[in-house]
Amino acid sequence: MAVNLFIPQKFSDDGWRLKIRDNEYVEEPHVTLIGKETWRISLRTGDCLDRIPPPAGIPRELAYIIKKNLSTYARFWNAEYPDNPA
Amino acid sequence: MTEQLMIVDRTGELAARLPGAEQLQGHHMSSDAEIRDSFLRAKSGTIWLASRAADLSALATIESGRQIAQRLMVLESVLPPRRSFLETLFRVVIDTVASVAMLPPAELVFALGHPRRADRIVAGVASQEDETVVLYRGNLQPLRVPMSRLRARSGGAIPDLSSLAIIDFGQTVRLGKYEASVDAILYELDPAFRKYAKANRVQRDNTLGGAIRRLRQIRNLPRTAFASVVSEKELARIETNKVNPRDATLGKIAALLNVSSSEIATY
Repeated sequence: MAVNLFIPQKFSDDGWRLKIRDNEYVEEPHVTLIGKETWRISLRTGDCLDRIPPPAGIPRELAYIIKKNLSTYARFWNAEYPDNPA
Repeated sequence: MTEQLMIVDRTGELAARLPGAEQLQGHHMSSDAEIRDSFLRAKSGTIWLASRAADLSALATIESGRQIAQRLMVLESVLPPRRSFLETLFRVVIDTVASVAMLPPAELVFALGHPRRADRIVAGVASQEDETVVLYRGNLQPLRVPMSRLRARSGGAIPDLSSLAIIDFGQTVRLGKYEASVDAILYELDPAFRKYAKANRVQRDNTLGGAIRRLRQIRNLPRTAFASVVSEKELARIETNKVNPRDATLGKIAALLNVSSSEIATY
């Protein structure tokens, strides 16, 4: 089952989702922020793994919350992908 | 986005069936003459969105045998004989019959209008008998995904072909409780997407070792799974480019990864 990570309700009400899916494009360990676009955010650095879509598309407050909770998300990732730990 | 989008709406029902579709960038048509003329002039790969199948009756006068890989989505269920008629003209015909899982309307409009719509999934059909899912990309090109490519991890959710849904604006495929990233599916099955995705990475590791590591992770295999070919430690050295594998070793690693030796570097 995909891991749906907690984000504040005002963001989920706006359609944002933060997930670790059962089948992810795995390099490197990351969480996926999904809105109309998808951002893969590294669990090691908190940075976006891809150039496009531009990181500026992530609401600043949400980016801050994600960066602050990386270690929590990493525990979920490690449980899902034990052979490719964060 | 290179392929042209043709939008057919003879009766003005499009906005009701797919709110927002009237705003899509493309060639909007409402007369029989326009529809027929556009079909004859369209290039291969052109995609068509029609409110109703009956709106395409004007194409009946087109000579038989003129099928040039145009693809069609109709916003209603299309049954024979009309379906058979449309299949003589279009390489792909997608309709809203119950067995087809479609993106919700607002997300479908967004995906069809996206600059990289081919990287979104707009619809899909699961065949339990064939253990396969056919996904339709935003350019309506079908992509066959064998169940064997949707691996379940130990203790994780198992893909359930009886419950297919396309969600997250065409970026996630859900099969029961199992969710797969569309990027992950395309990365594995489409070499052109793989090339784009690799170039799009902020940190690139285009080495052979990096490609082996990525492919091993995609296949969800621990290094110990290669023990018959190389030790865990040796494989770690190969993946970090501390040593280059011999051709014979690379061939055996490739075989365990279910690709050819020459294909590995594309991952």
